[in-house]
Amino acid sequence: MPATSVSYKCPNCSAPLSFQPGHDKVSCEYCGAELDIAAVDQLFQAKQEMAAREREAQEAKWDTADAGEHWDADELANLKAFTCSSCGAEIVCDENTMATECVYCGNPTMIPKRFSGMLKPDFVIPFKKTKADAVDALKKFYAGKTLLPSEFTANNRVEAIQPMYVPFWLFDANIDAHATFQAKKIRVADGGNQIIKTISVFNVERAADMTFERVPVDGSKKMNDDFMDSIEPFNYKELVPFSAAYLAGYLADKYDVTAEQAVPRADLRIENSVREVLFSTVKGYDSVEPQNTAVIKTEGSVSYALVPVWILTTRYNNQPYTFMMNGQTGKVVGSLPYDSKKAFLYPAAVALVVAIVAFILISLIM
Amino acid sequence: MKKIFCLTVLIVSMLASIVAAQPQSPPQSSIITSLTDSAQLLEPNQRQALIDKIKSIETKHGVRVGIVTLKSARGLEINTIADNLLDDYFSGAPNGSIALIIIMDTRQWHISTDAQMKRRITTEDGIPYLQNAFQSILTQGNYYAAFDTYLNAIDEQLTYYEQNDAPYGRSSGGFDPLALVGAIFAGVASGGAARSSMIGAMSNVKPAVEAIDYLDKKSVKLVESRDIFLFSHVTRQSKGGGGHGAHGGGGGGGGSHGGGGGSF
Repeated sequence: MPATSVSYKCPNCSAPLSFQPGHDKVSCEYCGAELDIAAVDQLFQAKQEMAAREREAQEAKWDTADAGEHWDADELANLKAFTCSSCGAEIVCDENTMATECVYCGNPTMIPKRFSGMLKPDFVIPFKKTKADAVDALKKFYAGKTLLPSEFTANNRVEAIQPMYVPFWLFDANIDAHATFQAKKIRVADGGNQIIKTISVFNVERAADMTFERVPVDGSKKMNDDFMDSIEPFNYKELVPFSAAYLAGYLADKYDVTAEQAVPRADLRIENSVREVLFSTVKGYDSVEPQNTAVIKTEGSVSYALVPVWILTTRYNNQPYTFMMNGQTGKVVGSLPYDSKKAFLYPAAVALVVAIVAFILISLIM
Repeated sequence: MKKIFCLTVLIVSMLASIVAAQPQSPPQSSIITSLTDSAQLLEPNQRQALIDKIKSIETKHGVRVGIVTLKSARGLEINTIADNLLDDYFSGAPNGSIALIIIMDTRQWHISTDAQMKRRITTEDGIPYLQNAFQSILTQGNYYAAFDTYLNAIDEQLTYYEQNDAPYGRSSGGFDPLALVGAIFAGVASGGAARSSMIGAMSNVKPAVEAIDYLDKKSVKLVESRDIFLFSHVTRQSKGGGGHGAHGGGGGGGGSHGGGGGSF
């Protein structure tokens, strides 16, 4: 949590600082650090500015009201919603699409009902990869996995493949960022019978403006967030204005995470990246420690998009394994099971070879 | 390389200045011989006796043996002096080289061995054996007896190696416990790393914690950059040394030199 107020503390040990009458320096009674008055003035002026910026950052809001539009009457007439009687998942498609089983729980009974209650997306990334591409990509994903159980590939049959448009909120932001760091320069000198180590401590301030474009956060509770993060990135050059025609033959998940609810995840990712960018500008020091960061959104808008995902489900040892493929780029993500015997034997073989080689080398050297 | 060259020049000039001040010293053309007594600790007949003994050991075992005494190290580390003298003046023997350096003003000694000699006189067992043999005599100020005992101890260890095909302290063909421990450690560490890497490769699902892919890099403008010096900490640490126990010097754990030293 960034500090929104300033207290005069020692930059070395955080103990309260006090001015000693008759001295031209401010000293810390606890660690003995001595600071020039001018440096203290500059440091705490900077801290005051930072506190003000952090207050401003806390007040800055995303403009989520403009995300999504309303459907027109023709589009509504063509839309159909399926509700799973088992898990309650609700998916949307056009009137020609048949959903025979729930993509989330595999329940074969889906009950069609009239579509209602969803914002119309602003954009869509159309499917580029076909079902055959998805099966091929999954086979390639298995390749080279040394610990994969032999039975998994030998008896493996993909149980279900479903193409689905997944709702995503895309966050655009112009950022005004300020950060402070404590940086150290360490010099070691040979002083005859002594080694003299001098650590010079600096307060480093950096401020920068930058723009983030369409940071994606998925709008579905049922879709695993880590899976959705992992299928990134998307090529936004192929992002087109939404048309219900793109839904023909595909399922679409209905968002159940609002743009407001998705904001914390977008904020966290943007703030981490801003820190990374500012950190990369602090050069010439031996160590740099971040202190405070204020990230102010001077403009923050959100749009609503559907992105294409192939969901592939397979089964091994009565356990379902779900894989997802980015329907635009073909990137497959998932977690494969591993064979416990292989997971012991292969590393043991590596350990044995390394130990023998190490023993020979060490014996030769010594 | 430049640093090593400068160091060698410094050591030679230091020896040359000491030798030049002594009329009975050997001529400049042979400043560093098998026995270079720049600190003038030995009588001429004692020197000759030690030189003869060194020659006999060198011929018998195919090694180079050096003893150098100095009045002062002039601020240089004794192990650095020993390693440099060994490399520059006592190298090239088929079965390795060993050099003993004595510094009189700090009363330090150091033995440096090369890679070949480390196998015959080990840093772990061989150097402590030499230390036990000659250090107490050195402390008494009986330099000739100390050097003579030191050379006898070298002869014993080299003979032991030739007879047993293993250095003093280890049996022939037996496991070196240090090598075994090192090998087990390397094996377990690499096995653990391999297991964790193989299991990690089974999944590519991970949360996104940053958004750097979506940063318009051209938009980044640094508008403020201010570095304020706050304060300095100065710590002074003694270089240490002067301990009486033998210690690994300059690479007992796997570098090109072995050996150890102490004070007397």
